[in-house]
Amino acid sequence: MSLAESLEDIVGREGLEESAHFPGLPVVAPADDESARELFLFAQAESKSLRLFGRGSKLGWSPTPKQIDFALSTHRLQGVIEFEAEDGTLTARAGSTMGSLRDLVAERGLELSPDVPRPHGATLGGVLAAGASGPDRLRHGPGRLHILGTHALLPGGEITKSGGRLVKNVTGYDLHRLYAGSHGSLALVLEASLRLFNAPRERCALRFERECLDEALGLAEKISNMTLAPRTLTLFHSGSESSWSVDVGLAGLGAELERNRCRLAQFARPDERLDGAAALTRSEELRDREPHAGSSAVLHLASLPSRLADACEALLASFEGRALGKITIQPGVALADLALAPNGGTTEDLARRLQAARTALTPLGARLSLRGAPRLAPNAQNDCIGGPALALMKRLKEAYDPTRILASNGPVGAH
Amino acid sequence: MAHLRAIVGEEGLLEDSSRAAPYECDGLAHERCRPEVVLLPRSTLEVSKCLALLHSHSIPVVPRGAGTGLTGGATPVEGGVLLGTARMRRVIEVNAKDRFARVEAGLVNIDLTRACCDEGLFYAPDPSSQAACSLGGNVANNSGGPHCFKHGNTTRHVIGLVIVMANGEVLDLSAPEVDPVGYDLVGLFVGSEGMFGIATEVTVRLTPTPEAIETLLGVFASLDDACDSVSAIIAGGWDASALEILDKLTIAAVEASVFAAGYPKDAEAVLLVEVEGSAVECHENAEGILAILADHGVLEVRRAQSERERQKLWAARKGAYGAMGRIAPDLYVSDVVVPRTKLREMVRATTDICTARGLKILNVFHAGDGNLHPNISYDRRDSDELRRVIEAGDEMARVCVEAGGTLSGEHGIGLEKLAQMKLYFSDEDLELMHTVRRAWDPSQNMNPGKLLPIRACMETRTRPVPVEASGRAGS
Repeated sequence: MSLAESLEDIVGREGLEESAHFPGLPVVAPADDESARELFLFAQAESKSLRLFGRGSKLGWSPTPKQIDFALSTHRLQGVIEFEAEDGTLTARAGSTMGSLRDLVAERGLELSPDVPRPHGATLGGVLAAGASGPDRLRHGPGRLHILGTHALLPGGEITKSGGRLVKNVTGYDLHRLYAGSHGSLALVLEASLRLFNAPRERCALRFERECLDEALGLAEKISNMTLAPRTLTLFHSGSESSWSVDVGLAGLGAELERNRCRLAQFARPDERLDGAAALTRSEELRDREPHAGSSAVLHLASLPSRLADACEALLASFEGRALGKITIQPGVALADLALAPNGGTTEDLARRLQAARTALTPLGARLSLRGAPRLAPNAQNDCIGGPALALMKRLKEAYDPTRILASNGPVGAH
Repeated sequence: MAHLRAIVGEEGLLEDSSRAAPYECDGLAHERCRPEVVLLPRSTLEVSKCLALLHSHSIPVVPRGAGTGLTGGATPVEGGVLLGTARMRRVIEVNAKDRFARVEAGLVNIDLTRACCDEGLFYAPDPSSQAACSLGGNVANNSGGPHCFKHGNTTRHVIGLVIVMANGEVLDLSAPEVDPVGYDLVGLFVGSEGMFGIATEVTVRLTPTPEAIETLLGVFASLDDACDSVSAIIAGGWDASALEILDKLTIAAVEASVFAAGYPKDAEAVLLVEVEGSAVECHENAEGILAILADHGVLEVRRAQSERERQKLWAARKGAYGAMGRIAPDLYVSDVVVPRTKLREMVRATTDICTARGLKILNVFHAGDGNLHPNISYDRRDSDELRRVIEAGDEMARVCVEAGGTLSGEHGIGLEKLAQMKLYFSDEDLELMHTVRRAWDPSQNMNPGKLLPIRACMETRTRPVPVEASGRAGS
């Protein structure tokens, strides 16, 4: 019996798929927890290695493991398990899209975080596993902080709980924090509970155009130093035009919103202003303006706010002369994404420039990772971890997955 | 012993029984075990050397911050050495521009805000014990406080740690990372109750001081009305930073103490509400909340007219536990969480559990989070009363879990709720936690006997043997 036939025995014909993310490999999409469990047990028994994913929107954030026998998608594990609007909590299965959950809670005047790009193509489980955040991070903080609890399938077939469905809970170890950003290397999250937030009652979007990065960062710094508490603050460069746009999203109660808008206008006249539904549409456009689209790879820079300008300068200098695409900067949380234009250089050139950039960024306390470049060695893509931290992470991986059925190739190491 | 003394100095080692006596319990007064030795190192290096030495002799180590925990987490029930961080209180760095601070783990919570308030910043988690509790203890228990309703528990504010592992190895995760590189070890460590290692340095996010704060005190003729108001404020989408309820007995205790703030003694309950933000934001939120209070039968609303008056109202709230000391020699502070929509019925249920056992219950709790603190005043010298207190605590935990709640919102599990862990988690859940613990500390000598019930010989060891019965007192 072939591998595909064995897998089909477990998930049925409708659960056996193909995916452009895994050419030539069987892809299974279990419809329930028990099927997922059987797939794990099968992998254990047959010493197979599998890669977990949702809809694949963030697969490029972690280097592709060399050895994968099949891939498991959670996209059929959909549905809301519990939505308590008055409690401000939501529990849903991992394959539910962030977009569907966002739409559901919006009906009750609530919102969930992270507000990730293209939410209808991103699953709850995938966002959790990738440790993703969105532009709302400036207001709500990183997405991993809003996970209240999980049910996770362990490589050995046990389904275990961590945390719960309450907004406040310190019972037991916070194992769900371990799953956030683990890229599916420890367990398969089957369901997760999220804290919800009050959606803004009113919104306003302001756009300022600036000639160069320095000017754009200067304006952003001034805005950050005001006590405006903007909801979003994003700098964008299209890659083709010379100017930068600085987009500020304000939200809140009516009088408060107007006050902040006036304060901002006192020292910088916006080139564009949108209110109400138009402001919401603008915020969604900004959110979905991922630099990945049409590019070969994206450089992801994380810095401290005070060193962001220097870090951006160092990064751009390291890639001088290489064709670049869109650049998005979130100065309030000191993150930047810089797209590399397709066919902009050889793999060797990329690896060399990455090394040079890291050398320049390390003294600034900034970190650089590369997303969506499967041809590069994992160590070139991600920051290296060493010493006791790496040893501890390896012990945790060993504790969860002693037979290593869950393929991973992140900072913890390849197999 | 000589080796340990050489590491920490004469002042850093207490082996005399009388000097070790203050370390025999934390705030869970009925569980006591005197440590054989108390170590008070002054630096990460000294902690590392101590742990390496103790590890080589397989000696259990119990970490302790300020000893203000309420679950017996710092009680050395399995003997060994108690290692305190009381002599590690330096503020290493306040970075106002990037809004973070690095401090030693023994720093008292309130001292961090004192160190950064001139920069227009504060440290948000504010346990009632914030004038005494340490940041390292807050990390171990993932502590909360009244304003964690808006700002979140400790875990939302910790962005880096220096951890000394059981074998003395130093894990430096102190860089203020935007996102973890690899697994989120910092996030996992917070709330691990001293069982993974000892945090010696803490890097925390600092919060800008709000432009304005408004404090309201709603006076109610019934506890139910106060609870329902809270549910309505949350459902109405109003942004409060704290929603705290005190019941009649608590008000009486507070008003009879040095913390008296003029809370009306004839009220059945008061609701302390705080909103923060810009002046306009505060005003709009306060007005919205006032309308809800009016809809729920509030008898009277007082608005703090000055910072002094505000501080007084909060001193009364945070001093409530101290004030309860007037009623009886001992206080059992329970900590459970219920869905916010079930606040009224669960407050009533916990009250019934205590009154049915002839116990005096005082309620003061973080209503906005559904985090109840049914407090029982008692005398632990009365063995029957102590038995009823423990029984009531167990029962309150059970009914809360059955109602969709959880065992702890901010105090942790420690010794107090070992048995109840099986109400909330399955054997598989607990086994995974054991496995994760072993990955951090294969020796399992870090704070043994806490948080995770041990299954052995068909018997679950869930409570320590009282020190008098074990004959270990003063040994």
